[in-house]
Amino acid sequence: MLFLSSPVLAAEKHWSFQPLTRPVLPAVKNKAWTISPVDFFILQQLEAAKLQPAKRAEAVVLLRRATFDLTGLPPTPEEVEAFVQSSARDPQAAFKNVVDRMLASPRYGERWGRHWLDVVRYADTAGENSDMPVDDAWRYRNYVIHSFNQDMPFDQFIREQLAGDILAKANPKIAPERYSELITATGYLAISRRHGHDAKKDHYLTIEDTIDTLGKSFLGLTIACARCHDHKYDPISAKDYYGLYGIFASTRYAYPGSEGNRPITDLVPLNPSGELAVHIAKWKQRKTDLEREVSAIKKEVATHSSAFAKLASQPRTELGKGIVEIRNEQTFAATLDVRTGEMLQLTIGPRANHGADTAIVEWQIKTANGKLNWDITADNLENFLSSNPHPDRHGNTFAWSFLDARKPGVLLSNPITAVDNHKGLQAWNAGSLPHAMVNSSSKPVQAWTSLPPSTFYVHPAKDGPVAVAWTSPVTDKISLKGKVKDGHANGDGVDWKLEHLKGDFRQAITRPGEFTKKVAAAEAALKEYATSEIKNPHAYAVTEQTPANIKNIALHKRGDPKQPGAVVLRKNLDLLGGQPVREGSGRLQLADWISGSDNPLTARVIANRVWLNHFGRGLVSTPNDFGTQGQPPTHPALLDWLAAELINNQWSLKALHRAIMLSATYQTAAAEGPEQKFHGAFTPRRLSAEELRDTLLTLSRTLDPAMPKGHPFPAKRDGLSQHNPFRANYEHNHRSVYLMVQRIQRRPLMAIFDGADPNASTGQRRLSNVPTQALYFLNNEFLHTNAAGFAKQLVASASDDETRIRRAHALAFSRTASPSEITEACEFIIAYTAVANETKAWNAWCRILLSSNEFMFVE
Amino acid sequence: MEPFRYNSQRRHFLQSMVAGSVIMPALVSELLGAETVNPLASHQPHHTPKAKRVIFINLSGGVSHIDTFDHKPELYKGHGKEITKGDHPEIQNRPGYERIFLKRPQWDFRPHGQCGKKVSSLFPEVARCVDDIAFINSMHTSHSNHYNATLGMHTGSFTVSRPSIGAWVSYGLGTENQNLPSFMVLAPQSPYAGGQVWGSDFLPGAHQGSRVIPGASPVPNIRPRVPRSLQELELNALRRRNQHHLKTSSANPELTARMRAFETAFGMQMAVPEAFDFKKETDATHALYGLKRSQTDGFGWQCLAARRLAERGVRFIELIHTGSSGNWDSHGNMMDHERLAKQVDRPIYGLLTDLKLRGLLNDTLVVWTTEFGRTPFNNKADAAGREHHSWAFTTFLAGGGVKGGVTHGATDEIGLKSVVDPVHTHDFHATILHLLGLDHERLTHFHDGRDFRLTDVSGEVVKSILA
Repeated sequence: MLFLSSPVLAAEKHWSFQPLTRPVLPAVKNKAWTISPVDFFILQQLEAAKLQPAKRAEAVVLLRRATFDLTGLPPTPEEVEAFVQSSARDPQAAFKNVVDRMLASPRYGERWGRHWLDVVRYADTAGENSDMPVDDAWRYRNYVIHSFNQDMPFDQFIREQLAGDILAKANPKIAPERYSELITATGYLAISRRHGHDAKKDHYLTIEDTIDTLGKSFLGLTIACARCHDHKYDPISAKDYYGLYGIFASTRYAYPGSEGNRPITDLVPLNPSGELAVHIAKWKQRKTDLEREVSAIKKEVATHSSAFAKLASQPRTELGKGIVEIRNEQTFAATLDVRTGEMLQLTIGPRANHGADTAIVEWQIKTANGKLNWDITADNLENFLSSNPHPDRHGNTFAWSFLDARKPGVLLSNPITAVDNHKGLQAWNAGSLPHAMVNSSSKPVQAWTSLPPSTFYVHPAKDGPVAVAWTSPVTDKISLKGKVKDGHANGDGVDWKLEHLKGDFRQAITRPGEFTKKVAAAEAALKEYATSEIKNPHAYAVTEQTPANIKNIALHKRGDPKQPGAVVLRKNLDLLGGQPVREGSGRLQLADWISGSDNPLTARVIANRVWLNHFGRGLVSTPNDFGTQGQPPTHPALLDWLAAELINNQWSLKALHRAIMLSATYQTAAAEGPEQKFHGAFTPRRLSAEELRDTLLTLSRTLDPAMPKGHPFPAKRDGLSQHNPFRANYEHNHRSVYLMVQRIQRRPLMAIFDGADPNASTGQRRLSNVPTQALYFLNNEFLHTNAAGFAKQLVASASDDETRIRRAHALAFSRTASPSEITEACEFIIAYTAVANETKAWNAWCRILLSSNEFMFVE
Repeated sequence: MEPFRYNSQRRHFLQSMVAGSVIMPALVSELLGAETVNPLASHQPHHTPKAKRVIFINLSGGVSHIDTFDHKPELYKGHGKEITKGDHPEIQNRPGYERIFLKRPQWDFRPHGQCGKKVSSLFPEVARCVDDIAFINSMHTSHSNHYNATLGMHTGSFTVSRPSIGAWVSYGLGTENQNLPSFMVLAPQSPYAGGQVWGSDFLPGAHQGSRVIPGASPVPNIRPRVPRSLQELELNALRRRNQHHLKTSSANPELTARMRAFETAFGMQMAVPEAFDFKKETDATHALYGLKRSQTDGFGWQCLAARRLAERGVRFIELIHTGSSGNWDSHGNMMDHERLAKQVDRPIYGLLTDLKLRGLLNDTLVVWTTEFGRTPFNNKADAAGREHHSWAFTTFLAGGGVKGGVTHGATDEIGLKSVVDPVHTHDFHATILHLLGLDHERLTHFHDGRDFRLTDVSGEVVKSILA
């Protein structure tokens, strides 16, 4: 490796790059203390430092520690009671039982899956300029939780996340559920952060993010440093980086859409391809049929519409006209002979100011003998949108029609059920204006102006009039009268004219209406069918590029893709063997290289993560950096033993939990002193944001234990941009691991209580202790609500204060209350009740419990 | 066990205790004794600072340099003249932008102050302060998208999130007032790139900016939900419980630190609303900021709040004008700059003047910036707007350690490129840190196997503007 500089050559001797061997147990003096191999390694260092391990933790303390540790929730008082009793008989057997019980609980995957989601910087949005929601990200989240619950061997977990799609497609006999799981697993890659205005253009940054997370999560290496230059400290060259880069450039990532390139593309179907191909072919055929149907009916509409237009273009007889000034009205009246099918058309036109032209129309017609009559308001108010033309009260389907009078013979075709969301306001329109409208409710509607109840309105377009027409069902003498009234106090009025159109309009106006209805029905059917493809489930995952797009990539000089250097062959890191890619993108081989038990890093890195999350401190305190700039292990032999044990147990993480937890080391009491550094005493830890929220919900008995799916993201994304990025804070009562995580906007709870960074791998949360957290306990609404819920449970659980107080201590602290605590609590309730009331007193007392150090720290 | 019975004498005693005052914080201080590790404790800077705090005014959307503080007579003369396109990042491959033409400003410039700095009629009030201001007319940045340029102006990173400059300053110097956050961001709307703009990223969470949304209740969880006397009773009970726990549990230093956090939070409930309560400000002061009495929004409110926070020892105060929409992004019509300038001109004048009157300008650094400038051209000479422009823009600094009445650097004759002494965002950051006594190359944090800094691998202090 001639290209390596000297510090890097020295680095090849670095501890973590050396092959993994299973160390023998060291000799110790105080063998009586040890109960598992782990204890030998811990005790050896304690003895070398002339220190003693702390005594065993009390049963209640141990149970609370282990329950939060494995499930992220407190034990129930019944579990405490049972454990105290069984522990008195045989502490080890009792503890083994509870560990087994909790490892089998679905709550385990929710807690330990979250640790992994921290490492892979899981989020439900893409992170580019508009932070687009990713509808299917949740599938990967749930896959992670399931995988932990099923104790999927960790090497398999690696292979599925890196190459699940290839594994799925390689197996023709695969069960559909398994196929879907394997596709979903590659969400590990797809959730890489997206960048910029057009996220497809900035995809090189997404690949960098993939490589960065890949290096940290599996190998504990900061590979991304080599994007711009050979790594300064670790034996990772720019060639190594671009060797991996080619693998991911040959991989097609699901694309979430972005402001500069909106369509969501490359989502991966969850059905196997054969099944899918048949499905798609059927779907396409049906869609084509529906499209043909729509266009055939549209032709019919056009034919009949032109017949109406032709008839309406004949000369007309004017019966009256006028101009209605602002806030004014004009009446009209006439007596004439009509033949069946002839039309009387009242046309309302705009004047200079056309924005405020809402006009009220009243119109009554009757035959000379008075036997038949019509009324535009009474005839049309009910079921106004049932059809255009609209029937009269005598059942003549063609009696009333509503026309776009900018051209002769055009019906308004678009029904609006609630204009501007006003209930009762219904309209026929043509692209908002012009329109004919009714207020069918019995109350005035406050819209752009006050619209009286049970009234018929028209509104012309800015470039021309609207009309209402009556088509005669009789041949008779008729008399008519009516009124046009300005309906909007801020305009300049409207003009109107009334005309008599000869000819038989019955067919001409009913036929287009019938076909328009058919078009609407056919279009609705097509639309529903077209969107049914989207309902075909997809994952936010990856697949192989087409063979033509599987290729090696030219190195980017100084990390700039615009400055290509020499082409770099796709390959493994030199550090891990440097093997070339032989097939496809190379992801499957990469998965094998990383998960191979001869890889010195992978098992050590995950064993350290498991240790870290049990003890709050890793054997290597830099869990994402096992390189030369990271910290060396405090107990190198123990780390290697755990890693070797993991491989020996077929990479079972649950076996590793048992190996760690069923040790004397895990079961020591908390104590402050030099022995703590050597794991001779347990280090208390603060509850995480998720543990805090989930425990509050548990105590108020509002936690919903179901496993939810996706989030209620808006279907329409067109309005999202860098100016108006996606922002939401969906609340629910499920466990916190299911809360929606955004990349560019953090939830307040996560920001205050040090949640994981949704943009970069979090190997260990940095738990802070700041006044804004105390303010949360003092004044936050969620805290107050859940404390009150807790108080309500207590008050309902017993009629006497002492029982309630005991119950509260058992629930919140998993222990019995001392006599002095009971005294003080009763006194507090009395004192507080004296100045407030009893409910408030219990609420306040519960807030104190929940704010206390004992509640917030696990010992 | 016997059910618990209380005795009635004790009951009377307790009732009288509630009625009397309980001075909680002092007691807790006494009881707690030794100080535990506080990430916000005040630290010594690298060298003697000229400024102790920063008010960082960020006008969102891209303020035009050539219409405000960078006078270019050639633009008036050459209006409508076609110029060559070059490799301008905004218009490369943009349909309709095959040819571009110079566009003149719609405002006139005239000299102001002793120094004669030419300022356009958009900022008549700020123009009165030019003798206290150092302008940088040769700014340039690495990206012409709002999101990326805004992120760059705040974190030095134009792509991935990194700690904000406010978080770095808090990390470097700590805070002078433990009852208020060290880094506060007064932002009516969310900016481009969202909360990343004030995030602490890999720095400890205590250094993240606390966002204040102007209005009646500006800080979350600050308003007590129970009367003070009852809250004191609760905190006393909490203290007793925690004290007892302290005796029986292992000596975990976090436990006492957390007790102190409650004490501080109790104080913050008073200190934060007090800082945002302008009742005691005179009518004259309100008028200075163009603010009506009891108004709780607008840029005048943000500026007066900034002065009050500066007085109370907040280390880094950012004022965001508008947010990711309705801002200075005047593509459609540059006349929109007039509407926006009217919102900020008087308040900024008021802030500079008020700080000076109170002697605060000596050790308060006021920074005025935007994410990038606007093009001196468009695809039609009569186009009403201007496009994004990363090659040149203007910022200014005033106060702590900055020379007044100077202009650093220059753009070419049409304001297209920064040609004389160009200043990149990284240089701008290095200069701000320098004035605070921090060496931008030494203010580092070890993360992911290497030392990170605000200025990445570059940054030079702009020495010519240092007093």
